[in-house]
Amino acid sequence: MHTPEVVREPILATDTAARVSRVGLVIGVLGLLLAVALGAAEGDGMRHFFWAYLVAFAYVFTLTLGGMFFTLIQHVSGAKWSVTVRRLGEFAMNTVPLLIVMALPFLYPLFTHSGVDEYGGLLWPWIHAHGDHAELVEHKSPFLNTPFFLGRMVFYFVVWMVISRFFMKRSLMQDTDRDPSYPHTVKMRNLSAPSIIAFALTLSFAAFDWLMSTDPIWFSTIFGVYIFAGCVLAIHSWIVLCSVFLQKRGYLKNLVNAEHYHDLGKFMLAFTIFWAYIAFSQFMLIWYANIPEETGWFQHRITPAWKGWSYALILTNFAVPFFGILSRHVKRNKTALAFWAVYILIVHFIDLYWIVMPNMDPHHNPFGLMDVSLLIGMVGLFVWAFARQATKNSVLAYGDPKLQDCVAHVNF
Amino acid sequence: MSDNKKQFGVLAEYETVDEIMSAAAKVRDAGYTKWDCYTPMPVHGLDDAMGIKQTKLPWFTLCAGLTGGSLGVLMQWWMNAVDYPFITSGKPDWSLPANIPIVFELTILFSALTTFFTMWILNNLPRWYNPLSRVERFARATDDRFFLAIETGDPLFDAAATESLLRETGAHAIESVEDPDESPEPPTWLKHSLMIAGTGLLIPLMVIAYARYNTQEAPRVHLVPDMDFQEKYKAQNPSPLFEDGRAARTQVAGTFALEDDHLVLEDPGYYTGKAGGEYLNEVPIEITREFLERGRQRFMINCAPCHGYDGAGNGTVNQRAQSLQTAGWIPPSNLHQAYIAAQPKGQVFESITMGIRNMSGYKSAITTEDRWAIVAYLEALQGTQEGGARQLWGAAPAVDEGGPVDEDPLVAKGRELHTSKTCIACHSLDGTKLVSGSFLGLAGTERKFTDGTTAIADEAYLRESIKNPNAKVVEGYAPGLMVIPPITDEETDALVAFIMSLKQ
Repeated sequence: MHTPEVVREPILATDTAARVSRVGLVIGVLGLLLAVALGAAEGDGMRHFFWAYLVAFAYVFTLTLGGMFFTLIQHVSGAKWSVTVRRLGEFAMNTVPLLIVMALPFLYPLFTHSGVDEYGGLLWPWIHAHGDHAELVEHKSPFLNTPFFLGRMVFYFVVWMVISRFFMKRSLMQDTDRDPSYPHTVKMRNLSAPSIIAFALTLSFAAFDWLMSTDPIWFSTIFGVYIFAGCVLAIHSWIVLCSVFLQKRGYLKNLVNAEHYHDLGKFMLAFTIFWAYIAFSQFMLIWYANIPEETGWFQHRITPAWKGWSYALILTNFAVPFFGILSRHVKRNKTALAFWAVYILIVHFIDLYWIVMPNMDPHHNPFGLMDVSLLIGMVGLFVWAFARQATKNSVLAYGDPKLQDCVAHVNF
Repeated sequence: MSDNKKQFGVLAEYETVDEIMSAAAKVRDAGYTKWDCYTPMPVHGLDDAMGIKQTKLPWFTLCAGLTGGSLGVLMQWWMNAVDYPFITSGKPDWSLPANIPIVFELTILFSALTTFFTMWILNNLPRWYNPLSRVERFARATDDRFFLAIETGDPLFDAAATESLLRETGAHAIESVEDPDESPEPPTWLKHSLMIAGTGLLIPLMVIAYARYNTQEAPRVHLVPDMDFQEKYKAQNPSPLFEDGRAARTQVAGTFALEDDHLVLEDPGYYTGKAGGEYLNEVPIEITREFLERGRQRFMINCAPCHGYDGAGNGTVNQRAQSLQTAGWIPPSNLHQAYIAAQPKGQVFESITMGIRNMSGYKSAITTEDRWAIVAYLEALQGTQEGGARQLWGAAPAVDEGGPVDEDPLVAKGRELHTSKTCIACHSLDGTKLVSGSFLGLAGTERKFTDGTTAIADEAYLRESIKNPNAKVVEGYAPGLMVIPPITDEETDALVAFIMSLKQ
C-alpha cells in the first residue's frame, strides 16, 4: 500500500485562525470582565476571585506546558507518527508570554496584606504565616519566602521562554530550509533531551510553588508528577480538538487520519490511567501512613463540603473516560474522540479546582458562575494567543523530514 | 507429488511487498478462506488486503481484566473481613484503598495471561510442525521472499484452478506442498519427560499435605537463622561481659531511674504506697467525684483490657487468649476476690506501680496521681460487689476465711499463708480452677506428669512442689508457670499441713 507523495507546502489557515482568535479575544475579555464583576459582588475583598484565578491560571499553564512536553518528547523520541499534528503542540507551547502576563496579578497577594485570614495570606498562607501552624511554616521560610518565590517564578518563565522560542523558531526554519542534511532537525533533536530535563524540573517546582504551597504544611513529592499527568492529558485532548476542527474547515484533510487519532487517543487513555495511578499512589501512601501533617490535605477534601467532589473525581476523571476511550473503535473515530477530548478538557478543570479550592476553605465549596466565567475568559485568551500564530504560520510542519513517514504511518 | 501422500496446499512465491499485496487482494476477492501470507517483516495493510476481520482478542482481555479485578476485591474481602479478620495499622478489617494495588495487579495479571494464551489458541498454537517448513524455498520467508499458501482444506480448493489463480497473481514460483502426515502426537521422549516432570511436581504438594496433617517432633528448620537467633540479650539472659554475669544491669547506686523517683525520699507513702515499712491504708489524696471519674477513665484504658470493665478478670485480652488456648497463659486476677479487696490501699498502689506476678509495672505508663485515682476507683468498683462491700465497709463479717474453730494451729497458719503468700491467686479453695488447680481435695489424688510418670499427692510431693515447682510438671501445664514467693521451711510445713487438711 503506497501513500502518495506529500507535497511540501505550507498549510495556511489564515482566515479561520483570524476569526477564531478574534472570537477568543472577545470571549476572553468578556469572561474576565464578568468574572471581575461577579468577584467584586461577592464582597469578600476579591478573595474567592483570586483563588478561582489561580485555578484558571493553572488550567492555561497545564495546556501551555503540555504543549511544551508534546513538542519536546516528539523530538527526543524521533517520533514519526506525530509530525502532522506537532505544530499544534508548538503553538500551545509558544503561548508562554501570555502566561507571563497572566501571572502578573499574583504580585498583588505577594506584596499586600490583602486577604489575610485565619489561614494566613491570600493564596499562599506562608506569605503572612500566623496562627496554629505559623511555627511549622516558619521552618520552611528559607524556601517559601516572597523574594525567592518571585525569583523562582522569573527563572521558570525565562527557561520556558528560551525553550519555546527556540523550538518554535527552529521548527519554522526547518519548514523553509531545503538543506538535505536537515541542520535544524538535528539541532532540535540534540537540544530536546537537555530541554526535557529542564522542563521536568521547572514544571515540578512550579507545581510545588504555585499549587502545593497553597497549603504550606502539606508536602507530596509526587505532586509535580500529578500536575504533569494533567498537562499531558490536556494537551493531547486539545490537539485532537484542534485537528478535528481544522479538518472540518478543510485543512490537514489527508494529513491526519484515523491512525493519528488512534495514537492521540492511546495517549489520552494511557494518561487517564497514569493520572489515576499517580493520584492513587499519592493518596494511598498518605492514607496508610496516617501521619497528621500529610493527612490534613485529604482531610480537607473529605469534609461535607468537598466529599462529593472528591468521590466524583474518581468517576469523572478515571472510571468514565477509561471505559469511554478504551475501545479501538472510539479512538479511530474522530467524532467520538473529539467528544472525549472535550470531556477530558472539562474534567481537567474539576481536577484542578479540587487541588486548589479546598485550600481556600475546606468547609465551603464556593463553585459558581464566577469560577466558570473566569475559566472561559482565561481559555478564551489562550485560544486568542494560540490561534493568532496560525494566522501567520503554517499549521503543518511541512519541512519535517519525517512528514512522509507520518502520513504513511499505520497502527497494527 | 506421489499419490500416496496427502496434499497440504499450494505455495506461491513473490519478491516484493507490492506483489504479495496485490496477490493477497486477488485471492481474497476469489473468496478463499483457508490461506495465509508469510512475510519476513510486518507488512502494513496486508490485513486489509487479506480481508482479515478485526480480532476478538480484546474482548477476552476485557473480560479477563474485569474478572481479575472483581476476584481481587472478593478475595481480599473474604480474607480480611470474613475468614481471618485482623486489624492492621488501625484500618478497618476490609478497607478498599488497601485493596487497590492487589486489584490492579490481578487485573493486569489476568488480562496479560489471558491475552497471551488466547492469542495462542486463536492462532491454533502450539503445533508440532507446519508442512510449509519442510519446503526448502520457504526458508527465505525469514529473509527476503514473500509467500502465500492456499490450503487444501479450503472449500474452494481445486488443485488446477487454485494453481492457475496463483499464476495469474504473478507468482515467481508455484509449488504443491505435501503433508508429511506425521503423527500429530508429541514425540515419545517429550511425553515421557513431561510425565516425569508432572509427577515430580506432586512431590512438594505431598510434602505440604504431610506436614499439614502431621505433628512434627523435630524442631523447625531455621531458614533465616539470623532472624530467629538475634545477637541481642533478652531479659534475664546471662552475659559473660559483666562480673556478676547479668546482661540486664541494675540501677547504679545513688541514681534514679525515672524523673520523679527522687521524690520518693520526700514522700515515700505517696510515691511507693509504703511509709515506714507499712502500707498506707487510705488513698493519700482527697477523693472527689472528678478524681474518681479520672480513675475510671484510667482504669478503662490501662486495666480493663485484661481485668475487664467490671474488674472480674475477663477482659478482651483474656478472652482472646482463652479462645486461642494460648499455652502458659496466666489469666488476670479477679479484682473482686476477697483477699484483694482486703489489701491496704498502699499495697494495691504498689502492685500497679511495680507490677505483680506476670503483670508488669505501670510506673512509667501512668502518672502517680492517676495510679492513686485508679486505686480509689477500684475501691468503688469492688464496693459494687457483695463480697467486696462487706470486706471494705464492714457491712457483714469478714469473708469466711477462718476454718473450724478447733483447727490445728499449724493448719490455721497455713490457711493464713495461703492468702498472704498469694497462693490464692492461682489455687482456689472451693474447687474452682483459676490459673492452676484448686487445693480442695488435692491431697491423696494421683497426679499425672508431662514425662508420663505419676505420683500420689502426699506430703513429700507437696513439699517438693512448693520448693521446686518445676521438678514435676503436671500434664496440661507449662513449666515455669508457678512463681514462688520467699518462703521459710516452717511456712512450707504449715502450707503442706493446710493443703493436707483439705483432703476429701
